[in-house]
Amino acid sequence: METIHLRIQDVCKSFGNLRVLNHVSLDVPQGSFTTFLGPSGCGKTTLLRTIAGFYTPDSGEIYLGNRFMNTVPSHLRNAIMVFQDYALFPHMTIEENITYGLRIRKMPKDQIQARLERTVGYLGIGNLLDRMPGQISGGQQQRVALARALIMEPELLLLDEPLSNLDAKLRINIRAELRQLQQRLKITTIYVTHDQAEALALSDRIAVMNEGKIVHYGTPQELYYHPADPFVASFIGKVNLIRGRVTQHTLEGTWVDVQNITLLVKNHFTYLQPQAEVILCVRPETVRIVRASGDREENAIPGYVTNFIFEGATIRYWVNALDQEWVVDVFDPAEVLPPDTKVFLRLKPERIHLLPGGSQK
Amino acid sequence: MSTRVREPVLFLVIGVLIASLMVFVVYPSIQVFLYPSGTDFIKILMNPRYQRSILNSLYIVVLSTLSATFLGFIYAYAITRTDIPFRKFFKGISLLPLFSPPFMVAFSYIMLFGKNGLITSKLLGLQVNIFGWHGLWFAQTVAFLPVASLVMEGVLQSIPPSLEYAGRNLGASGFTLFRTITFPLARPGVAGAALLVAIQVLADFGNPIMISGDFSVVATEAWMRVEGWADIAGAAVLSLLLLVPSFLIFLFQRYWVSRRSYVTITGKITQIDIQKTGTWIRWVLFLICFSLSLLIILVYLALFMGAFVEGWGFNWTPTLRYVQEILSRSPELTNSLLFSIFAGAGSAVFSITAAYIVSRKRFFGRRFIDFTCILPAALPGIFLGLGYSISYTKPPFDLYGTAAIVVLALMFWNIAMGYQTGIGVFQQISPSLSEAASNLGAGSLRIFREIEIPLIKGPFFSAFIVSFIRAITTLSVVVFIVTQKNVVTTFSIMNLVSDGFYGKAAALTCTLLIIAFGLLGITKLVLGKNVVLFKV
Amino acid sequence: MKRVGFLVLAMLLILGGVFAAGKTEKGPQKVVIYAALDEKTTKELAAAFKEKTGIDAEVALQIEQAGTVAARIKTEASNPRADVFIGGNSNFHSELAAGGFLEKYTSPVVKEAGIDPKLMDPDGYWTGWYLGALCLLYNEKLYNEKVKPLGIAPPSTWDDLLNPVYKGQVIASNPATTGGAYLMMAAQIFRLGSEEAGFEYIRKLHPNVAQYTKGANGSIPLVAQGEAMVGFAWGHDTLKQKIQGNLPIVVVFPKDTGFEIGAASIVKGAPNLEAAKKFIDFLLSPTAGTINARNGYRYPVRSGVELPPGVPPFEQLKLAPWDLKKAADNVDKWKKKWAEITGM
Repeated sequence: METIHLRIQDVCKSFGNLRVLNHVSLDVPQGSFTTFLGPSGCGKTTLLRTIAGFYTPDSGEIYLGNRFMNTVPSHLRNAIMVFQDYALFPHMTIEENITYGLRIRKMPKDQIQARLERTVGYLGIGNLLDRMPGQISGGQQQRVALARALIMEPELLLLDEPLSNLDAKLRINIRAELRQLQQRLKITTIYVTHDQAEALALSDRIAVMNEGKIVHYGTPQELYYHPADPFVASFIGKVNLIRGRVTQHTLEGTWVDVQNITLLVKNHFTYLQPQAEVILCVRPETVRIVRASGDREENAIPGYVTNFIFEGATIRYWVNALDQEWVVDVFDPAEVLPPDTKVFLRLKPERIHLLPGGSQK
Repeated sequence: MSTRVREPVLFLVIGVLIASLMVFVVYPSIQVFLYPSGTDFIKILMNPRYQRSILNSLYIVVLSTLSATFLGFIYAYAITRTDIPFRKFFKGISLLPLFSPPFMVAFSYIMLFGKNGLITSKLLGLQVNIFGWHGLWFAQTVAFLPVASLVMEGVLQSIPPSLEYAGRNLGASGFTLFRTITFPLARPGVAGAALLVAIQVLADFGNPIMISGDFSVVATEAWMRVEGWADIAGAAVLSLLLLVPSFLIFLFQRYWVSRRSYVTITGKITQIDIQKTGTWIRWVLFLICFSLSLLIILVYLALFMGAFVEGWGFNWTPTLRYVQEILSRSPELTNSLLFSIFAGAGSAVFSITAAYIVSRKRFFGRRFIDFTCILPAALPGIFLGLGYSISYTKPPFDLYGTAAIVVLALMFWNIAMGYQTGIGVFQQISPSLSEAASNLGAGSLRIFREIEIPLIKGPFFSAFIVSFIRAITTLSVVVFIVTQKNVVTTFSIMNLVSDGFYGKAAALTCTLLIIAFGLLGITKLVLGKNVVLFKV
Repeated sequence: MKRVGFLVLAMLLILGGVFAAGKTEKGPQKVVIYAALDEKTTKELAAAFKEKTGIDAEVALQIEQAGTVAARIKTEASNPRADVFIGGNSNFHSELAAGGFLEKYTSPVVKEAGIDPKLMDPDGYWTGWYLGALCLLYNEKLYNEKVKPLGIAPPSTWDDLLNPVYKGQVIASNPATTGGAYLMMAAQIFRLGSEEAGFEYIRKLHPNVAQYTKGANGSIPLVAQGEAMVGFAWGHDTLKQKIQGNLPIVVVFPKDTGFEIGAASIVKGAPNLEAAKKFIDFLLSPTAGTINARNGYRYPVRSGVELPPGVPPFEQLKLAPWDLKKAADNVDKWKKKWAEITGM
């Protein structure tokens, strides 16, 4: 059993009339990389800042280890944050920026120096120390901001969309470095982002947030294949959502009726009663697409291609089937199916996820 | 040359700008400069009295600037960064000293803090002599506190909040945070505010003429050369003496301090969670703000009392007759209001246009416009007044006795502030905004109306208000150019004071204050938000 | 680039607007007055002149400070607007005359009315039309509280001001900043008969002086407000302020007091020279004298004009012998000496 490092219990926070955090509870394991993921305005940054101590929760509790944190002022928390705009102090050199926190702690000079060398070593910014923040590039600023946090050997590392100001290529490089560094240093890290690809690539755990609530908290795989609701399903990755009705449960799995087409789902969703309205979540890459030739196939839906994009490794098709638009990704395509081609969409029974229906638009 | 072909309107505007600056700033300045002879310069410079007053001026400028900036910073900090009560009220009160017509506000200090003063003598039983450097220091500190405080409020508000969050996050708190993050970031702005205060203290003659006693400063000496000895050459030399340091200060502020500013997004007011201030700090700040506000209120209250009692300072029987008399004869109030509105609007249009063109275009004469637009900030009022009196009472620019001469003098005296604000704003507005609009199919008129005007509105109104306030409260600029036909209120106040009508003078000053404040209120209502009045 | 056009249009409108207002009208015969007098006197003089001669008298500038009026005449010299400069002591007029800013004129009225020709400019540029004497003033309440109990009589002579009881209680004025104060200093020299004696008086007075005001009449509000107990100023200005402002001060004309000649002159190149001459003549009339005495408490140069209540007849004043030329010749020297003594 992993140890819980950060525990957030029933936290609420409002700004004026606007409730930004609505009964949020969360346990973050020691040494994990946890991401708060959600659209803008979902409360993820507020939650992060509440953990940092910039905001005090209106109600609820925050524990770090066994310490009750609500009453600890932000400067005594050692939950160090890397800001979205890096917040490098423009009036200090890079070295002064990085060592700022240790100097505030009045750490002896030789120790500061030792830590400084180690930290800039990790990040490869040793040659920048004499410069001013305005004189270095965005990617370098990002590393400096990270160095300024890491040198503190924080109990908790808080990252507020730290990659959002970088260009795409740099973002992917730094993302990988960040993950390696975190795994090496084993610092419990909380990462805030609205980029689901980033979240999937980096995280041990992801908490998907929406409208001030955590809607799903789990591993990337859990979130991807077994999302808790249609919001999570469609926020993470691309998904086809289809309305259906449970017909029966058999040894093979759960049977679903979609507009008189019977589909097998090779997972047992026995909590769903027969006749229950359901939503089928089907990921585009789990669907096979074949030219319609004669008989209807098992677990297949007829339709026709409306459009496609060739993306190199994949072709993405838009297929009209059951009066709705499907997205299908085909890897290593042998041929290109032009629009209006009649096709079958073959669904893998073990890759269909069912959600209780009724509320989905 | 290519400009003329490609953009005839732009060429025309640049022509008008350069011509106006030549005619209305450079020409009168040169006239004053050429008036005294070499012997006049030597006579003034060798006279120990004026050597002393130069030192006195520098001394009082340093003292007042330090204290006004220090208290102004505390004031601004308390208003923007703490949760002390009555912050809005404190802010409102701190605007009052911006409106200081000559004589009567200073007289109010004597009334309160003199030997026979209501507070010093009647309340505290002290025998204090307010006259001298200490009284002047006191009055100038209060008078220029609002300028300093307004500038620094803007500076503090434009520090990105994440920097302070970051500092706190890394373990700094309270005074350590202030010392290592907040103050160093605000420092260039503080320096800018201090220099702005210094220029104004240097040129101010209203307070020293009433309360400096035997402590003579250059601005009053220049004034008295004319009033006491009809010696224009001496006044010109002395005001040139003022011009030198104030212009140096201005250049220093412009080219050194502003370069060191860390503030990138000025004027943007960011929501920052006000942190709970330590209890005793909170009370100290509150006490300072409270005392300063109380002081300001008392000074202006004393002034209002002067308008409503029989004999200010010796007969406290209430009366309405002074106010009635003032209201029954008011051509000068109308003149003051109209001239100042015109001068304010003219100054705003001129300075914002100049700022727009200088920051957006490259052309021959650009540096000239830039330099000449900031020059008036350093010109003492008496200097410009003399220049206009010499230059525009004869052909080819014969504006004697007209509204035009007063409006033009007030207008060009005030272009520097608006120009500075304008330059600051245009440097931050990306030209791509209007390019984007044009790209989306908006025509020139539409771009101007929908993109440029909303962006210019802020700096325009702040330029207008600052010019208006300075225009309606100045005496030194107008005293050499008004006649009975274009007389303004400050001139009448001076005459009432010399005739011993202190009650009437107080009533007239109050009326002027109410008008000025009313206009500020209307502007605020029209804009629906705070106008950034001073920016460095 | 059209948008800049709107800005330039707005600018031109404003500039055009102010220029359009800048036309000067040419009318019937008139005289344009620059007055270093109080508002009421000036207005009434203008009205009476119009009534008497039918010529419009336009008060273009009225301001108590004669130096400022004289300065205006200088700055406007290349295109003079004023016809006459009335009021202010003769030194301002002499200085203008020396600079070539004035027109010579000696009014026939001087002879007709038998006015003392010593009150006129020997060079014929200015006309003395009233006299003002220096007075002492004291704060009645302060005197009653602090000095009267000691059995000391109210200040009535110049030497009374030297009494140590007035230490730090005397308001004097500063010759470096104003010509009026210079005359007050000169008065001591003429009164006591020699430079040495005069400056000795100033040296003795110095410890008692609380402040040397920048203006000649700076003592009036300060004594009235109780900032100091006694001071000296021009008698007519003090009486005017005391009566108009109900100031709680007592005005005393000490014996051997100094005085000034209030002058009037015609500006060189005056647009309305003939009317200007008539106006100077008018200033010497009993009508003008009465107006000036009634409102400004100034003594007309011609005798027999009724004085307002509370103003002692000029004949009763004991004046120090005055030497205009000596006073004018020694300006720099005496100012310097004064500065050495007082350290101001």
